[in-house]
Amino acid sequence: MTSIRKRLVTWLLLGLSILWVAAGAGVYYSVQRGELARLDARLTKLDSPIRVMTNLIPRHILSDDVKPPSPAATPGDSPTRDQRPQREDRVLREESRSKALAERWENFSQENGYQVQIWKPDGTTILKSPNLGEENLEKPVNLKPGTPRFFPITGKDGQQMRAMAIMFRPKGFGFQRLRGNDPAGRRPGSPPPQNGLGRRPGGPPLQDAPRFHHLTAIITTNADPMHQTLANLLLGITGIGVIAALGSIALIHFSLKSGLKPLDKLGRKVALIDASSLDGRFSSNDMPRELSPICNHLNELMSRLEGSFEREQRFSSDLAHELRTPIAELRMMSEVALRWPDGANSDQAKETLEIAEQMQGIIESLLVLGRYENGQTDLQPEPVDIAGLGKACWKPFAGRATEKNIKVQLEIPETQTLETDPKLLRLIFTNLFSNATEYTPAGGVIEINGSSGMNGMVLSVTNTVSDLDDESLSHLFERFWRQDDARTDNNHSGLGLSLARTCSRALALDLQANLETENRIVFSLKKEN
Amino acid sequence: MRILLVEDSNRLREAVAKGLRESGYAVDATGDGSDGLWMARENSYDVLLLDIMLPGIDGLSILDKIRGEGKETPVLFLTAKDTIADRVKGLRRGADDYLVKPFALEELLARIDALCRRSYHQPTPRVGIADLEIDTSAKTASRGGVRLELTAREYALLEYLMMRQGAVVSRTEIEEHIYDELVSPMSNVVDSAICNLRRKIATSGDSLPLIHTRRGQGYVLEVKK
Repeated sequence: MTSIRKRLVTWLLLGLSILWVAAGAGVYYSVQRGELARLDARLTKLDSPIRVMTNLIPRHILSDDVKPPSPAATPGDSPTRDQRPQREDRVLREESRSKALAERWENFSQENGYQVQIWKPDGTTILKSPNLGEENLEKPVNLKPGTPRFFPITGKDGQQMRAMAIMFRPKGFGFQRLRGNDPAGRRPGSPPPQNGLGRRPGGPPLQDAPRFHHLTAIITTNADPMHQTLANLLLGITGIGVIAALGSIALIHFSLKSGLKPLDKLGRKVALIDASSLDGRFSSNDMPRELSPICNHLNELMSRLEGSFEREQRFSSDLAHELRTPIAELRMMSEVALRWPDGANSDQAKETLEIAEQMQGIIESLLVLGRYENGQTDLQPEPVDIAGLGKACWKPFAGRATEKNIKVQLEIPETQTLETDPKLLRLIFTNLFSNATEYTPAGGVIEINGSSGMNGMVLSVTNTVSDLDDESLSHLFERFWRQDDARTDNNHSGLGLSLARTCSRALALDLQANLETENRIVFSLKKEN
Repeated sequence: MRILLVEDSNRLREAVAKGLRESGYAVDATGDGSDGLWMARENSYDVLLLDIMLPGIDGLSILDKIRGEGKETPVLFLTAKDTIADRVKGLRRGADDYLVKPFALEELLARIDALCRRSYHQPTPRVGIADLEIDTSAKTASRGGVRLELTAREYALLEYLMMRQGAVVSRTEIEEHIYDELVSPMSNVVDSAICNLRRKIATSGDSLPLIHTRRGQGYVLEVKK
């Protein structure tokens, strides 16, 4: 058997767990992304210094177009008088650059702890920060110029690092820059203009820029602080998650206990219902709004159940009375006659026969009711002359009506016919007429009218009544119901109208009773719509 | 003993009344609840036999009314209502017994006898004084072991005196408890019945006289010292 409490606990715990895990993961990954972005931004800022420092690298390393300078005159190499100062100047410049590069490089790697390695396209390392020592970083491949790539790497001592790989071409200060929109339209390697263009004021004339190699560089920085921060964050999230989970369990338990209390209360009330407490009702005032419809439906159900139970009890009680009383009469009369036989006479025999007939009538009526209510109908429809049948059925009651001084009005059109089972229709007419004759007070009126061709009416029986109210009217067709609670009249068992209605239904006819006025009741037999 | 029977079924009422009369009870019978209530109020009965479903006033209401007026007459319900709830309801409203229809006459007589004994505080059916003894269940009387031949009326008179032995019983009380509405006792009927009873219980010439006359008061059944 499923339990609402169990199901709610399961789903709430599952849902809250997913929410807490998702929230924790979200926080963790947001912080991680932020930290990485911060590191990457720091590395990105190093792009320019790296580029600048590469300009200090000797040109012949950076380009195949530049020949390495001759540090001194060698035998066989005799520059001209004009070339000699230029060569010296270049040597001096190169030395100065190397010195500057060495200083900057030292400061750069020591002050910031960055590791840098720069390769030529052929994989030759042209520059490496001193803190790398003998270690070499792995040269990244498939880089695009100008587009940095960021990635994590692990140092040889297991240190977590963040790396930025870039590909760039040195700018080559001191050279004539070649641009695509050069107005002179010169191609690389073409002779410089003769109008002195490209000469720095006071300096030597600028040379055409040689074609520099694309260099690949990796700059790394220590990522341990970031990982430590993330580890602390994860620990915090886990701790908060455990506390939140425990808090959620307590909250769910309390909420369900409090929220399901009305349901438990309703369940206990329902469990207490038995045959003796069907008159009880559920109050929806002290119930939550969600349970109000259930309370209302339960009350309706209880009301119907109470009505059915009362009818059932009344039926059993009435049946018991209808059968027990004649049996008691028979038994007592027999016992008295046997013990004191002098008193036995023909009157007693006559009474015994009457009792037997009364009981036979009850049993036959019950059997007919049972048969037709269970659908065991063997109908034989034929055109029935309503006027003829009505008059024939009324005949046995005419004498009794006269005795009671009842005024009778019988008006059924001679032409009125109905395709139906005459046997059942006779049973309906007989019971209606019997009821009217028996319960019309002396001096009253009985009106029996046929159809006027309107509203599917077959027959209506109107008679005078006394002390009949709407409450009694609702019980009129119940088995054994009698207005007289004492059930004194032995001639009627209270099955006639019940039998008439059951037979009507079997013939697809509708039998209804209405109080026309306080003292007039109308039984209408109509064709069902 | 005088019994009121209120039962709306004519045939049953007449048969039960006949059986009770033949058994020595004085019986008043009616089929209407209102009449039954009036009779229970006006007369002094030893037992009331009431149906529950009655025209006029139902049996339970009759019981409520007479109990409300302080009458402690034993009440036995004779009814077709057979459920436990009905029986419990009847007994809790103050009835002394409950018998469901159909019932055996023998059982009805035994229950009435038990109710009568209870109302006169006699625990057993055998009641005696000196050597005179009656059996209320068998409706027989004997003296010195010799069975007495008594009519139903004479037995009823003796039973009433035995039940009230030692107490003075007036003629009116005897009339009320021995004779029913069908009999119109003349002024000397009681005296005549007492005379006959004295004669019948005196089985021999030296039998101890037990029924004594208290002039102006009535009769008393006792052993005079």
